[in-house]
Amino acid sequence: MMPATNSFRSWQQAADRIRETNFEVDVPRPTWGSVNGYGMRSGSGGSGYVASARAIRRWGIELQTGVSLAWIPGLVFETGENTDSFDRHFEAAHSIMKTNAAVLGADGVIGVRDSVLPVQKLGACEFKMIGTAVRRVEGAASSTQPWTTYLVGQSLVKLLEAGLMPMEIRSSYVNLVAVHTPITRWLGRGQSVASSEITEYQRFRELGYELVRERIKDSVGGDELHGVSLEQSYREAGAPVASSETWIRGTVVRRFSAGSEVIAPRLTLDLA
Amino acid sequence: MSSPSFIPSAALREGIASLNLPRVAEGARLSESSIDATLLLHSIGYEPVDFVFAVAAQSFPFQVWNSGPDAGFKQFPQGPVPKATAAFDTAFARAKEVARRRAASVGALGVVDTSLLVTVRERHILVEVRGTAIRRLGAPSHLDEVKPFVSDLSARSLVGLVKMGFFPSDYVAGYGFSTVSFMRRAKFTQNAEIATMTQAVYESREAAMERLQSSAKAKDVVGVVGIRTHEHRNLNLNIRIVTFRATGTTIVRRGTTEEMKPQVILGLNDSSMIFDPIVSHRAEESLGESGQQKSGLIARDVTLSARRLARSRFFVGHLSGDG
Repeated sequence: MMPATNSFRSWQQAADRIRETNFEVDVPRPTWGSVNGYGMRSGSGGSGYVASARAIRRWGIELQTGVSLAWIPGLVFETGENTDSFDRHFEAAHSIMKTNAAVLGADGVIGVRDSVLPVQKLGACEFKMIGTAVRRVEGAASSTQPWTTYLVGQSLVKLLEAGLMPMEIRSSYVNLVAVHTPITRWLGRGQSVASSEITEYQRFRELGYELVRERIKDSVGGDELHGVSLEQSYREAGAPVASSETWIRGTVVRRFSAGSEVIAPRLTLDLA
Repeated sequence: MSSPSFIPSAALREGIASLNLPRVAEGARLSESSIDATLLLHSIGYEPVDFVFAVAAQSFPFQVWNSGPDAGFKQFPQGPVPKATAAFDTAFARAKEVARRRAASVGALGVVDTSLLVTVRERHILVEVRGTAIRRLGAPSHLDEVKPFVSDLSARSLVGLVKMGFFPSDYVAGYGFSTVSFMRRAKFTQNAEIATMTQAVYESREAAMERLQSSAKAKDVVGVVGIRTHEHRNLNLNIRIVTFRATGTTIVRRGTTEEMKPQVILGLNDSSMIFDPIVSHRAEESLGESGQQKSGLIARDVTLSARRLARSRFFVGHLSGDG
């Protein structure tokens, strides 16, 4: 029986490649399933206006203050329910995947891919995570729990050669809702004689970035978040309300040695 | 089948053991760069330290699309819209300045791989600048009196530039807007050029390139590299607009230029290996029990290069999947 792997086109090549990094794919028993993590959130629904609208109705109890009210003239709310729900379920999927890997006796999970997709007509979001469990060729796992990384193949080898060890994937998400002031709406509609800066718009967009960055920095501590992926979506939910969603994720890596010396590449001219 | 290990076992044990060490509270570094980019930066003495961002929103003045270059209100104008270009310039300069300030606050010498996202609404414009702040290896987290550069060059391009004796100095952009008057359109009963549209594309391009060149006229600048252009037609608004964007990085000379002579090289780049369960399954099926390929793939294999032939087992997956 051949184990499933999500990183290579053939099992033999996958096994060879992984052995080169001193790991092997764990096949202690017949298994076809890659290591999966799966979470589902419901209630506050998927991303988008519906979620924002629900959050708006719940402002009275879900409002998280202390973030932005001081510096933006308009009102900006973080929809705490959405944010918490997203982070919680992403972590649930991640945790299940790690548990499955630990059951297989794996040291880590490489080539992780994740997806967050709304489930139509269910008002829910599906969190899915899939990766390849690997273990060291020599001996049993020595870390307390499997490490996880988005990296695979060459990138992973280079990371280890550079003296960096992947720890785990980390994510942070923020859902904000803004109620813009009349002056901002007036400027946004181009009613001013002269071109003017629209402070509220720019601060609202920046706030999402700032929040996810600060939160993920807190959780990363003194390590490094490598290969950061940052996404932001913005939509106007009907004047004067607008909402934004910002999501950041990457692999936390820790330096364990100075790594191999990096030789500066020589310049070459491509004649093809 | 055994393969040599790239990573010594002891080093690997050390790496895994480090995961059990207690977490340090502060000093997190975020990097959008790939490991390749990170190592390339290390090779010239830099390291990514953080990602920086800045957003600037600027309103267009009243009736901006109805007031062409000539004074006075026109219902269906044709021509460049300098007030909209000025609004972009203001927003772009402000976004760059904020990105610079943020880079300086983490001790960075510059921002590379900067992406520029521009959202043009009918009444305002949003400019977003995002990139990776880099600093010298082991430099302190705060530097005084340093004005970081902003550049859209990749780490790879930066390494090439630095080794050639140049250095990036600024990120410059020009954005041209031009309205299209459909009152003067051609008769659609015959095949004819829509002259107003052609004219609008040229006008917006002229405005953008002119702005880009005037931005680059700073002291010591020897040129603009990595110029990218983008033309867009927004014909769905009440006013039909053609926009043209040109961006690039100005460079200054530092040191001597390294002479380059073409050499024969062997590419070591590996193909991207993205999982495709169907292709993977077919690949296994296409191999017999002894590992030999079945017929039908041989003819195409002959055309493969020597490097590919050496790895023909891998390319079975490609061939059967593509076929």
